[in-house]
Amino acid sequence: MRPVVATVLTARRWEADLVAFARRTGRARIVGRAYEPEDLDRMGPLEFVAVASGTAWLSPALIRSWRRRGWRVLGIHPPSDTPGRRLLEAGGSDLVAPEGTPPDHLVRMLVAAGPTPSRPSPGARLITVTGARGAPGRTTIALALARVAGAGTLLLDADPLPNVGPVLGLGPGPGFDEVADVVRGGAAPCFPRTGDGLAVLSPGAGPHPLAAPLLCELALGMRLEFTTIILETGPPGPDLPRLLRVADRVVLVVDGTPHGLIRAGRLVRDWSAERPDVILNRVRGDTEAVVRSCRSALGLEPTIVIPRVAGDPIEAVARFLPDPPGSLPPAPAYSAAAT
Amino acid sequence: MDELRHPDLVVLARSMRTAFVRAVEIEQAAAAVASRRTRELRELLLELEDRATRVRVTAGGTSIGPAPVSAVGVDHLVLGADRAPTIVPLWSIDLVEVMA
Repeated sequence: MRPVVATVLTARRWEADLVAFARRTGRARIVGRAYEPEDLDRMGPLEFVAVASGTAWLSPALIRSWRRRGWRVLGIHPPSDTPGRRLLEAGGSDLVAPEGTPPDHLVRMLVAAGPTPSRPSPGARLITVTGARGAPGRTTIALALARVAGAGTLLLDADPLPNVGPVLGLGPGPGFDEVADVVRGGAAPCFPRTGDGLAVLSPGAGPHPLAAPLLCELALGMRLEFTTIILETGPPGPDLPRLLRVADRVVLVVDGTPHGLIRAGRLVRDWSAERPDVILNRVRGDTEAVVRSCRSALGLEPTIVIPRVAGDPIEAVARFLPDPPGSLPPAPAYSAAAT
Repeated sequence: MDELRHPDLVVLARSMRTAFVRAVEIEQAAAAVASRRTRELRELLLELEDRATRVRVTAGGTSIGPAPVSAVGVDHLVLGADRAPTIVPLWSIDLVEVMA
């Protein structure tokens, strides 16, 4: 049996040695070297992930989510790094070895372990809600999606000026740092919950210096605890592409006014992620004309059009959304934006 | 009060963790760049073979494939099934298109 292995790129010597050994001898199939966790999704069927304990975004929760997907984990730690070894063990790594273990021995360990017989399960679907500056209604749409998804949903509010907590009447919850500490320690964090079981992380603090990596770590690490994770990105910043790459689906909220369409057009112009589901929000007047303007400004067909409505905006928006949110209609074909 | 849980220590530990994560991220980014800069065509083809990826190869003005990379030798590439393989010298390859 030739184990199918993806390694996580590291500056430590063992990873390059393992890749070179496998390629020279053919005793393992190295299908890729991941730089970010989402790279592993693009490598096709995997049996093993070889990762260093010192990888910045590695957490016990992420290791557990890999194992849940049917990937066995080979963790390598510096010989004297007890916290690193503990991190690998806390996540349930199948194989743990110190640096300095010869690559042929590592491959023997993989062969002896064999592929996992468990059925792959990716865990929660991750839906990222974003939109241009100018309050197009990201929070409202994120809350509506969370309401439609029901219990077992985690709503991550990454807006530098978060308002999910106050809207839902929740008190101040833990910060990203505090939750990250708990996740890295291998425990399950405790989130404030609404009466209908929606878990919310809305820290009410300014942007964290490591916001995108931390958010991705949390979102990917929490996949086993929830059925749906909804990430509200806040206004687009330099971290947005990273947040979009980890998502299973991206929802782009567009304010249905001329200004909103222009702002969204600017955002889409530099778009480098998968094609988003466009929700045309707060449309007033001639809906057909606004949809035509959306096609022209964005080069995208709106997936859902929501008129401006009175009353509870979350209830109103939820009525227009399909159930569950992972089953949004397929995104229509992309067409080049007209000038 | 547990001295090890003093709020100042928690903040200090977090800032040290942040600095460590930054250093590790920079190291990993450098490793990724170094890997891209030093790898050769043969290594890319070996990865494609391990992934059983289909490719279209243009060599000497002729397009071959799409076909799976079935073997990579020291100086040649084997495309397609065992019964009717196409052998392409590495030196003659102009372009490799990777099929999604």
